[in-house]
Amino acid sequence: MVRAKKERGQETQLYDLFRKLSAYEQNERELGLLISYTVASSLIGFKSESGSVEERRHQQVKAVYSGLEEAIEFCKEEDSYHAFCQVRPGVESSLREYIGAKEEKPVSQSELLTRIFNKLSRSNQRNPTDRLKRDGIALYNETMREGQKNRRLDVLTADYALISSTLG
Amino acid sequence: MTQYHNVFVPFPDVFRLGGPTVFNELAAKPGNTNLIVMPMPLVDRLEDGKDLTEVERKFQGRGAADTLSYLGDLKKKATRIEVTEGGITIYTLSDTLHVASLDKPHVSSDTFSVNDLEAAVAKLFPSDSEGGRPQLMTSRDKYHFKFSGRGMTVVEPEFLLTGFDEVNEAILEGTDELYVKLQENSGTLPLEQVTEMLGRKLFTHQFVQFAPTDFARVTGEYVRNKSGTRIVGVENPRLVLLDPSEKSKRIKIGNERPVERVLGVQALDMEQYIAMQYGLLNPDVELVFVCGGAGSGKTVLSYAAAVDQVLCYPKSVRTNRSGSDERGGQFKQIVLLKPFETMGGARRDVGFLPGSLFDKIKKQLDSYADAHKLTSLVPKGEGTYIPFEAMFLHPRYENDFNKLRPEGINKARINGGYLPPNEVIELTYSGFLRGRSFHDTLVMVDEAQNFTPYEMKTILSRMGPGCKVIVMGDAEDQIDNPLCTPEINGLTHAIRQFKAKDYCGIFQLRHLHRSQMAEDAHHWNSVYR
Repeated sequence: MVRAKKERGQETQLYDLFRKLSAYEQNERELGLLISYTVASSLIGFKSESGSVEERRHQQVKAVYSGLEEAIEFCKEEDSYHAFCQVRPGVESSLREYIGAKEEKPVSQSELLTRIFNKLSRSNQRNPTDRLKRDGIALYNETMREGQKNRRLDVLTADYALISSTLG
Repeated sequence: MTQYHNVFVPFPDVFRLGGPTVFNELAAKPGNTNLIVMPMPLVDRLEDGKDLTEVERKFQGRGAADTLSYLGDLKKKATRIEVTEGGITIYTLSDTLHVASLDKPHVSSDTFSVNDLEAAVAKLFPSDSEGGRPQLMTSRDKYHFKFSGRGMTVVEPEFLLTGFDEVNEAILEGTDELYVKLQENSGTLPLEQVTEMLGRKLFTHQFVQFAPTDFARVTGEYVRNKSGTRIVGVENPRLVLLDPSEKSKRIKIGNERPVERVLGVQALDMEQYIAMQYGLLNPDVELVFVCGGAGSGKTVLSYAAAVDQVLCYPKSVRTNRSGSDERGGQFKQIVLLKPFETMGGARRDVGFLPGSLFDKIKKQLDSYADAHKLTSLVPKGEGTYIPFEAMFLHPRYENDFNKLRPEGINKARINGGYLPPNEVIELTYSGFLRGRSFHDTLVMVDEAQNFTPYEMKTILSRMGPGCKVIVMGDAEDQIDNPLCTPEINGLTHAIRQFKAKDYCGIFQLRHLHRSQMAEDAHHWNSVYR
């Protein structure tokens, strides 16, 4: 019996999205800023559906994917600078609010975003953009170094780990 | 016996990377004393390199050899030597650091095991920290995994670790608030105020970016010593917005009219312009780091700027360029340093390649030969063609290449100047630097990420007055030296050491002028797939 070869589905992952983004923006600085701001922006409105810790993590990564897809669309229609301008104000006002708050409270239902904002509020209160740029470049380089991943669940877990270790 | 605060057992790889400087780095703070234990089997490995692969042995540089000669001189350096029973000698180097040589019967090369060594050291020299156990020090992941698993304390040589992030110190991100303040103050703000606004210290020659083409730079009035050979300080340090006219990326050398190209090479983006104008061609920056990936333009820009500065210009041009009336070029010669072992290392691989000496080394210099073709030394239309090989020839004496520089080339007018009356470029290998010192020379250190931190220190300590050093590299990728990593390499280590010096500038070329194919190839080295 000839078993039909299972076709490997092209699932979304950071690697592919970053590859597409880098085709529109070749400057490392602009790319780093666009990536980190888009990641943060896509987690601001994150609402968790119930589930295990792992599922919640996967949902956050999926939110990041759709944020990046939107950014790519913007790059296609306008350019990368416009895509950055779309996400920047929202992130900066949320961050200002987070840093200015007297009591520590979660910024959204995303613990990943809380970790990102925590990191920024600890060491880079006065200049968070510089940290976001560096971390965005690091996330891009790490993702490209790791290369394309093959299995869906591994992809979501691995991409969460990448975002968490570089931005969070 | 002295009670030690920390007891370290550094593995040979630490000395190969850090050389004898490891001894200074591991000294305790005043009031405490640390001990470095040097077991003879590990000292033997430093000498014979049996723990290295063949490839690693080619790259090990002089760190191990210099450590051995340092150990040979310990007797002269120690203020007190205590010889105890059973093959232990303790050298008191200072109040904060002792060094113990450990030999038979505690450790023996014949039956050496790290387990026995650790147990013996813990018994002989219990420390205040780590539960009295010694700290094995290595940068090799394999040993961390192996010996941590056996319950031993294994530590990284923290003093050698630097992150890739050091490179990002070249250009900081500015804030809207800072930009507005700068605009309100005619584009200039005292550095103190900027430090307060950004919440961090800034260095001379550092840049702040506000938008894709809006930059400001940290500058001031340089104070030099009486002979003018050293920058001793910077007065009135301030952040200054670049003039809007600079967006045209035209380079201004001294009082000359701004030009679009330097030796035929044009800055393609603002980062390249900044590197050229404020680093490579800036006489106040004596140590220039140019960092960027393959295809970012670091070799082309550095080569064009370097050759431009060794050309001998007529008096009127000289005065305009540098305000100086001195004869000759700004620098006598270019010295090109590459970390490739084949240029004269242990195996002298060049001997096996066919052709003349130039043919043999040419392979290693292809990137420079390509850069050479992009300059006005290879004119597209009229003008004298200067072959790349001629850059290594002397006009009057036959050097290693057994040739003279052709007469026609000596008289050729290039960019308004002439080639210097000596070899334009001298090519050397870092292993040959011992005992040399350079004067009025422009030294180009290529692929600095493939030098060990100790090799970089050796290179930079050879610079005499009137020198400029251009260090090029990419710490994020392109690491071929198996002893180096993105965390431990000569490039980032040197940046960490020098970034705060007033004569040092870091320039990052972040725009990659390459194709999608090159971009994909750049990320080819995936180890996780």
